[in-house]
Amino acid sequence: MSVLKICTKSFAASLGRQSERSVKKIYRISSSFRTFSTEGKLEYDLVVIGGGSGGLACAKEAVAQGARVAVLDYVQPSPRSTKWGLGGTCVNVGCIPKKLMHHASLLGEAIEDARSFGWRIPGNAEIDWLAMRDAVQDHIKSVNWVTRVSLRDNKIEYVNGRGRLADANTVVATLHNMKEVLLKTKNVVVAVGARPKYSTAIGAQELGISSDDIFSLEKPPGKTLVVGGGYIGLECAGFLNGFGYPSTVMLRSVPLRGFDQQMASMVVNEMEGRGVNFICKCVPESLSKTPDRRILVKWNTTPGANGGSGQGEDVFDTVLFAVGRKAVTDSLALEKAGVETHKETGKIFTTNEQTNVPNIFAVGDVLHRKPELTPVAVQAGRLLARRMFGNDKTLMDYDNVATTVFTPLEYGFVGLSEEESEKRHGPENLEVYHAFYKPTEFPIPQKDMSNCYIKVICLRREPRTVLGMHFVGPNAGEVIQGFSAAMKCRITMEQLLDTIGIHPTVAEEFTRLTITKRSGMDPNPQACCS
Amino acid sequence: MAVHQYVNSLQELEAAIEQFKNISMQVSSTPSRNENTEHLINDFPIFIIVSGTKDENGVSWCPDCEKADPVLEEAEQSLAPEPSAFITVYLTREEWKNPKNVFRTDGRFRLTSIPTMLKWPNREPKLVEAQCADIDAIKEFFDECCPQDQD
Repeated sequence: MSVLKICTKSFAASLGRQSERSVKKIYRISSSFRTFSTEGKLEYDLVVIGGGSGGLACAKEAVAQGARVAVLDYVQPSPRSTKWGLGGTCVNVGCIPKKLMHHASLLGEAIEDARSFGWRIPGNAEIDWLAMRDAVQDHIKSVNWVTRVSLRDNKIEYVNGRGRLADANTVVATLHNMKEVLLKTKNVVVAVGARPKYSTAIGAQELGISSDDIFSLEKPPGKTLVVGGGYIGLECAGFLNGFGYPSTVMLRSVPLRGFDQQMASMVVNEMEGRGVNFICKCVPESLSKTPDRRILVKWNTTPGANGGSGQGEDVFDTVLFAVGRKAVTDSLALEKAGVETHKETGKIFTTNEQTNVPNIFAVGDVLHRKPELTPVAVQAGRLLARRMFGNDKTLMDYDNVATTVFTPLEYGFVGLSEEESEKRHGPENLEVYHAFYKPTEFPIPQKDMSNCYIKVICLRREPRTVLGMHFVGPNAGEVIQGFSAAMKCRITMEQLLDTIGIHPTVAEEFTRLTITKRSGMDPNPQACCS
Repeated sequence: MAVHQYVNSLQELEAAIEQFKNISMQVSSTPSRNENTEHLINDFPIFIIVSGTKDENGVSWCPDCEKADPVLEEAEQSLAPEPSAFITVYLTREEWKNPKNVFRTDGRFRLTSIPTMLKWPNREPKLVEAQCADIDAIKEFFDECCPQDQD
């Protein structure tokens, strides 16, 4: 029992009449307000380990199908001690804050563009990092809360604890107070996602940050080095540069490895044009603190690489590692049930989301060789729950999933890259239509249009099925989304070119394609509306 | 257990927050029969509840606030972090229905409905409407606002 007394005299005197009563009283409080039951074992139809995009979608659908479900969620603090609430990577340290910061960054550009459209805007627009960060974090907190309420409304037991397997039908959750809860369950879905890797450079873990930390950084990042040329690295460098923080990207090999390399080079060209510095074919060797509390980074050519920027060093305020993400399967004790995982990546081998153990499944970023995207995890989780507890037999289709890289000039695509198309079909069986285009709103504020480019790859023989659609330009995500539905319907080049565009938009450029790479003709636009 | 102030305007609210910031709360706990420890706590959560004024019969014009009242009181007694402070802001129907009401427009609150409970100075998460009359939701809200430290 606890007793509460107010000990400051002046406080009592200054309070209003009603509060005086509460000051004078001494209250007795009954025992602990945490009433989560830790007694005994609890039976479930499904325990989901991981409260992110995939896990929650699966859990909610399972409940809708009548199953008794518990969701475990736990966030291991980052090396910088950053933590966050329920909802997984997307909500807390991924898609959502990324898109908000990307948008905030573009707004700064829009303010400047506005002048050329006649707006009188006094002074220079400057970003207040803390105000922007707080606005973003507030939004995240509201989503954390809505997610929590939603679990309750759906009658899903939420356990804020670290999960591991004791055997194929028992999940152990370790709570914050080190208490353990045993959950007996018929089925398990592992949806623990992944976390950022750090480079092996000396001082990387001690002095560097990752995407886990950037979205809640307590002070403006200043001059930043982003190590890594994947979409996370490019997106972060993109918005930081847009905010006015001098940004450098260090690429070990190529940007957006695995993506269409021609489109990737457009994205990088655009970023360079905006002032992002690129250090190519290099890896950091060491990070060390300078006397004025900044970070000295020394780098060298990637082992085995030819050319590139070569050895160098520079001082930065922030070093952000975006060198890949590792599945969080080490601490799950998957071996207790015999679940097979990839030795290096830790990712789980599945067929239709089922592991080698019949009652243990997995969805989301933790899957071996599947796209690491929220909508993919959500759909896979939902369909899995329907197959497990409902009558639906629909399998997840991982093909033709549209995606967008939210760099300052965005890159959206659906389907195959040109490289992958050539590998599968041979260049002689492909036709590649392409064009540079001029967004209507760009000339007035004199925005650079040299990287506004689209490309459609199709089969050369009838029916000329479209294999891939690629777009670099503003609002790429919005542009490409509808086309992914068309791809699902196996749209042909004839159907695409038969589609009448909306004018003036950038998306309509897909309906105006006439020039092929094979023709060798100039893909630059002649004139509008012709 | 908690200490509670009742105010009628943003100005009074700000004054109450200032007051709470300048006091310490003495908490004694008896973890076992023979021990008795006391400590002074300067940094405790301040919860703000925005509600509707009551008439001369003690009934609020806001039905959700009426329903929430006894539940919030119970929660304060038995679920709130120890120690914590509460401030209830009472708004008249006219004040609240005004779209320019400061609790709707001010960036520190941005309320869209009452009753609402939030933890100062965080705009989110917010416990809103029927959630304020749901003892389990209130428990989750306290847990979300004041998570137990991990590791």
